[in-house]
Amino acid sequence: MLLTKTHHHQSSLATYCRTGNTVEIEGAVQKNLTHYRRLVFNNVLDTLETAYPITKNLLGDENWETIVNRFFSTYNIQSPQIWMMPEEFKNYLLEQEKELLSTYPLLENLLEFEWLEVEIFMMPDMPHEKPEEGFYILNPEIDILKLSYPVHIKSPLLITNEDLGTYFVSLHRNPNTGSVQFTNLSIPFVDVLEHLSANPLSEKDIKQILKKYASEKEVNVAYDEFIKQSLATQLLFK
Amino acid sequence: MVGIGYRKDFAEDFADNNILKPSFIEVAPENWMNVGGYYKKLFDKALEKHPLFAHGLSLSVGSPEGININFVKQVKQFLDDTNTVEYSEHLSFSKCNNAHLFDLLPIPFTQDAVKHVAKNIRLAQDILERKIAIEIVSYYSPIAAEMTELEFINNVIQEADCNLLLDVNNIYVNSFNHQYNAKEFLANLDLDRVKYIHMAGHTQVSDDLIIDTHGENIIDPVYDLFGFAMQQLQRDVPVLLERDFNIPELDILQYEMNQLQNIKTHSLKKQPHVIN
Repeated sequence: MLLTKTHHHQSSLATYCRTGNTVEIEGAVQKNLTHYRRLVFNNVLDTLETAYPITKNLLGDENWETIVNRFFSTYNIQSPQIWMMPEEFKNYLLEQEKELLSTYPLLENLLEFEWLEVEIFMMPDMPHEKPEEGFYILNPEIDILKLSYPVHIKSPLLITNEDLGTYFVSLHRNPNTGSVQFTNLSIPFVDVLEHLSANPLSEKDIKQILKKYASEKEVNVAYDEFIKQSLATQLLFK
Repeated sequence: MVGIGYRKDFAEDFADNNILKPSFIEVAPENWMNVGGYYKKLFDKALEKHPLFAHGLSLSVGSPEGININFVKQVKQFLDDTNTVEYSEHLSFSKCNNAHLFDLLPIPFTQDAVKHVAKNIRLAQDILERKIAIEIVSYYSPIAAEMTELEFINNVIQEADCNLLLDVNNIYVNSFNHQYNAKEFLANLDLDRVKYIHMAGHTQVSDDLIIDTHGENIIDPVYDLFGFAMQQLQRDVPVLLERDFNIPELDILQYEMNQLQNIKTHSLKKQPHVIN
């Protein structure tokens, strides 16, 4: 069984690495311990910056480092896979950093958007079958976000309260390139994608859904544009 | 056999040309478990041609709170799915106070830590249904040591009945940082348990400290120590070239791999008997 004092020494080193607050550890070379703090914290900073480049830009370098430090020193990271750690960072901010969220009202949307990009990029492959002739199927490697701020189409630094509204964006992984692609969606096309997530649809089926929202002439134009773009980005397969 | 640490940085080039010719590739399971997408496809393609060695990062055999059983089961699934040849991990802790730190922190060299770490390794080996090759890590400060590093390592691997991953660069780094004779240290390890060797470069940050960065070419004294290790071992052991940062052109990596193969071949040649 591990002795309390051994556990204490390990705990002290781990706490120092998380907080940067100097601790006395028996037999340790203090000037060399600083490298552990530097290496550990930089690894966390780099991983989070890679996942949230727009958030970091919005918050500014100094503020960002302070927030990451607060996260790392107070929150217990649970995932053994470092690429999943940014999701815990997002959840921490949403649950624990209320003041920050009120200073930056769009932050919640931005974090959800940036994390979803990572999640879709990394998600396990989801096989799909070729649809029947004349039908379209939805790329299964997709998710749709409902947003209050247009963080997917406008720089967060330029977004104001006047932009407050309802926005939809889908993120899907292009099977050819592996890249994650965004599609800004109006409500009719959210409706179409929701139907497609349940069943393959034909041209007639899709136009039928769109007719609830627009005239036949508008539907034809919108349908053609949507299908052209969706097949090009592999949001849909035919 | 000389292998290479497989990295996304060169995954496309690796798939498209034959500049790198490793006998096997190595990855960290944590970076490839339960993922898909573009790089996973390239990785799967690489696995069609190369045997896999897996080198874990987050098992944390030195954690005071013990190992994460669910995580070990996921690792086992990965090892089984990929027909992994050898699974290795670090003699360190990366989780403490219920929080991951994603780095390799030194375990205190104490008798109770020997027992605790050995128990964790044995438990992991039981779940994995295979032996783990445990790596001697580089470290920059001892923590409350009550025995030497050598005693600690030999005691752990004997008590855990595990294999040993001989990271020659780490031994060089530690011998520099803690002022001991690297060859003497190496010769006194339980070399029968060595199943795997790592070689890498490092960065000297001050007159008395080297950091194990895997970001530079291997230096000559580390090649020399590798030759000495092979002479001591007198048997073929798979060797891996690790390069995690500042990655050069692939022909430079291949050159380093050729160097390792040449040293190994030379060291294992039977020495002619001298007749007086």
